[in-house]
Amino acid sequence: MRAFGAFRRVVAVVGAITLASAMVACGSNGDDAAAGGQDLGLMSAGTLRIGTLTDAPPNVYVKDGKFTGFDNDLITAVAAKLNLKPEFVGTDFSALLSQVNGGQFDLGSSSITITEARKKTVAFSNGYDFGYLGLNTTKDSGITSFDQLTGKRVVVVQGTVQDDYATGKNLNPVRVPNYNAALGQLKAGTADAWVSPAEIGEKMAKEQGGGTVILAAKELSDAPMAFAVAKNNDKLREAVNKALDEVIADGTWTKLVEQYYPGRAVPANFKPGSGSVKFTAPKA
Amino acid sequence: MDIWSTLSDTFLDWESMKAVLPEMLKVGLVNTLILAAASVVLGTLLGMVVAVLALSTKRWLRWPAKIYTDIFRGLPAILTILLIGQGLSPITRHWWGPNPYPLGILALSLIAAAYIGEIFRSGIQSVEKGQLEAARALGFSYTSGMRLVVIPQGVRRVLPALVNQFIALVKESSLVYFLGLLASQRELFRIGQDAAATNGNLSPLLLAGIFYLVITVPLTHLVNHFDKRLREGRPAEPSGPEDVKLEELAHANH
Repeated sequence: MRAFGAFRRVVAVVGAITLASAMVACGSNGDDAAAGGQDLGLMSAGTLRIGTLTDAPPNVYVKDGKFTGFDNDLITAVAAKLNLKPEFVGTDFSALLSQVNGGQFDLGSSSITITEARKKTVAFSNGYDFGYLGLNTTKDSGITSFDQLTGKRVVVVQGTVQDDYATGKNLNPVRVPNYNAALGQLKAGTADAWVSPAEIGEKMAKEQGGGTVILAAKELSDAPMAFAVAKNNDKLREAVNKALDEVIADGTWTKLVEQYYPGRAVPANFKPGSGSVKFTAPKA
Repeated sequence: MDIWSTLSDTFLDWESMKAVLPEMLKVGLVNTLILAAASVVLGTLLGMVVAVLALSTKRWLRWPAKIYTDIFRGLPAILTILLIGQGLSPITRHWWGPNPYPLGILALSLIAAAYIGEIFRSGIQSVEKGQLEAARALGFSYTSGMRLVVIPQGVRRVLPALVNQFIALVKESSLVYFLGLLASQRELFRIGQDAAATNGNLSPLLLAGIFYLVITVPLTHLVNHFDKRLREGRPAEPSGPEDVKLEELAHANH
């Protein structure tokens, strides 16, 4: 009986500590949430709460406990123009768009390609980037172009534009939850090819490919990438579009493109932002 | 040899483990412990309520408990977490802001309560019927007979099964990630996963795995220790075996 009493005491103490710490955790960032947001319809005034991913370098990722990447550095610059403090939250891509529209985030930043299907869930800012589809494969697979994929075991990250592409081409792709898993499939030999976002595919092949994974081909994808906002929040979308033009005009956009995608040529028909804003072409 | 070098490159890269270690300790371990411990406590309490309801003689108490168990035990954990975390957040946002932790803990607890309720029920039902009958004969009400005689005995019998559930909770706590976490809110698995994405190999994930073992193995042994105590009593003290004998004799004389 004494042992049981001791057990109960341990449970009680652990329980009390837990509840106390959970409450501290809860209280810490809930204080300003009810304040409402200026006229931009933000969740809390002065803060832009951004939903993003933590594991998709170089576009969006966490480094040394901080959110960074091309898209996140760009939205940080945009937020600065709007006098907003960016607050990044990492989530899963499959949940991101519904969380943006459901009001958990003010904006989604994750190299989101504009598609008709996604427009049913969220509204998009002007495009700020273009995307190449990448074809990652192994050195000895013999695959060199996208037309050779029929009948091969193709892997894609679920819910991405690459997934749409592979599904549309009837490639019957294997779907994995994230880029790491896709690369892992290639390395382990369980897939022949991975249809990737080319920037991510190229970086991962080079740095993590272990000498066997290569980027065999690239293909321009026609839809631009943009930030997602809730469908009913036109004010925020317009403010972001305006600030986006400003950071394109002042050269921030160009600087970031050169930093994150060195040597990547901008296609002639791609215009960032509203399209009427002048920009310096990044060095190719 | 080639397989071995691929394996060690992928999983045993000490440098990338070392790089992520401070964050694992300061952020990941703390958050995993908060999530797991809070849902263990809440899940156990709710589980006891579910078990008692499921054992009730009244149908209108028994049925809701059965339906609850069926639903929360049957749905994939990710779905429950999304349903609770995303479904209730428009309401709870006005109370504690967009922090996903309280709802994540609630979702984990609700899932755990369905399993723990069944564990408690099996334990309580394994207590011989005579125990409750004897308690009733001594003048206990049904409620206090259950509370003071039957349930304490039942709970002791299922401690090892309960630990299974606690361990499952420690691991499932990583799914809260689906609700969106600040960098400082990430738990062990997520920090491992993110470091793996930037460093280029899976060693940080292995490190996260080691931390999970650091939590779960001592937990198992701690509860086994209590379990043994409850079954065998305190180990006999060498100084006073005669006292014990005397005491037993005294009891026998009654």
